[in-house]
Amino acid sequence: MERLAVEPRPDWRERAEKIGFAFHTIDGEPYWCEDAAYSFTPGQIDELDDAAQRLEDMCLELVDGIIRRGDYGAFRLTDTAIALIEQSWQRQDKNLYGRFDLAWNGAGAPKLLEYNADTPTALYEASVVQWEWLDSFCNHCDQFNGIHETLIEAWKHFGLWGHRVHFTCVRNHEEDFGTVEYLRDTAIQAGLDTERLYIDEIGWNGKRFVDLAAKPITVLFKLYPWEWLLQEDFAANIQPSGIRMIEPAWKMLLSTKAILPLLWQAFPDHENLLPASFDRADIRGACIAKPFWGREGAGISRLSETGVVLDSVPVQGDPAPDFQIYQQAIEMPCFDGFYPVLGVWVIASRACGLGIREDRSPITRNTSRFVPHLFE
Amino acid sequence: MRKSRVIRLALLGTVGLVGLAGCDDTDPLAGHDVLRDQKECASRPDPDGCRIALADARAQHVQTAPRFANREECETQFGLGNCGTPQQILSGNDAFSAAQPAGDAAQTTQQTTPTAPLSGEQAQQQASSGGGMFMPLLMGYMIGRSLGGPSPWNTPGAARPLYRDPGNTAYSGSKPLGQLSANRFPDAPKAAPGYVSRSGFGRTGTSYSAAS
Repeated sequence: MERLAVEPRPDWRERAEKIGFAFHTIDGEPYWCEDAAYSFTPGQIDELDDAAQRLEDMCLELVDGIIRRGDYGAFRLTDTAIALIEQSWQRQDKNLYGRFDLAWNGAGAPKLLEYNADTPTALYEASVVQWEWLDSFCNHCDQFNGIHETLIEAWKHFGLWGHRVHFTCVRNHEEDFGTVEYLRDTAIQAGLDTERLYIDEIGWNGKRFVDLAAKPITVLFKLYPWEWLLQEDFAANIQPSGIRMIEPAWKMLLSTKAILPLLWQAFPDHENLLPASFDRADIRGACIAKPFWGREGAGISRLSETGVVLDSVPVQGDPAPDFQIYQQAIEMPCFDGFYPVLGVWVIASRACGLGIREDRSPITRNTSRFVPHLFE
Repeated sequence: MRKSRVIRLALLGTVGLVGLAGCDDTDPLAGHDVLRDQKECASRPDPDGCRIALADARAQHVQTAPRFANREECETQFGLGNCGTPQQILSGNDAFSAAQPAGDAAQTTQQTTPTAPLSGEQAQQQASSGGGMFMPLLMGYMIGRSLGGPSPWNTPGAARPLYRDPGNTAYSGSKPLGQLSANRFPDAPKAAPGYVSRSGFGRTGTSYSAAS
């Protein structure tokens, strides 16, 4: 694994826009960066692929065990949430996608930092944009990237023939909108009938959810976290409506940081896991405190052995996190002053691609840059 | 992971995300004034031009707004007293002219616009002109605030028709524009039984990205 200095294509902005990548620059700073690229050997890519697949399998096993035992104590879930989780698991509602964020420098075992199981983004740049880059950068190189075709295959096997799939996200958010439109694109290519609407446009007619044309919404892809849905006015309508959601409700169990200690309990000393606990005292040395529901790094802090906060990311607007988990701090791999996080994508629970974000700080947050990769 | 593969996109591409995303605005009427009726043209430059532009917008509304087979269906979606026939709308019975408390508005509409049974010929005409006979009433016209100069009304689309539903969502033509501010437009039509409520999801996400 190496970080290569690369000459950006002079027309990269035009190229990005031509393939519909509107958020290559965020708040005036380039988010897509092709002045560098990470290079791997085929063996290293296999290692990442295997690690993510093992983690996904472990996660599914964990969910199955939790639901079987009815052991939701660690998750602080409401009864509504638990009912939805059990219904979706028993109905075998399929899941579409997730992203494992791994720390690795190419040697030893990749370590799981966290799993973005419910509303992961940075998908389009991983699937399409970096592929387009590779095409013009290196003829004989390859990329860990089967995301696009795996998505199309996944939709074909979702069992949604005859249903219209609605896609939704918040208004006025280019990145979320782009991600949802990309996913809708792959669903259309799989032959599905689709519609899009903003989350606040979803209607309730007393019996079922409806779209702007008052047509029923029976299957909904939502780029909107479950824990937000469940604290809003329509929450109580979800179960009676019989709506099928993607991601399904059982993904709630995997989308909180609670799974980090639970995975460590279920698979102690697994090479792809870092020690994690609900109790700070269980973790030796420096550790990372992560809020249960954190997103984009918000609320994460690094604590020294004696509990001093070494570094933290402020939480915007959200109240201070009530519940935290603690994960052993490791020295984050650093290349040329940048800390990369390797996001391995699982589509329909199959590991199938890699997207790398790097930051000048060891905590990756929403200001990090997306950098392409290759292997040869 | 196969070098030969080609990624094809159905939706995205040259006119993909960039164009679509650009259409969104926080306040759908930001940068626009709303005229509630033609009387308000009097205080605008070129009042006659203004009246003509509003009449054009009204005609456009009748052509593009959704139609329903009966009043109940229309009112379920757009509120009590907030629906009429194209004839009523063209002859100037806009919602704003009855912009009183919602209950009164419903009554007014019923009193002033008794639904005379249509002749067979009329009914046939309407059926062939694309669907039902009832459509949402206009709430006003959206105009660019920067309209100025000697005859600002000559631009096509200088005024756009507006209508809304009980949730105070504004529409023009067949498109929703977004939620109106309740401060600026407090008199939303009253919901009919069977009305579809909206905005029950999305509150938490208004200030944060869902991304992770």
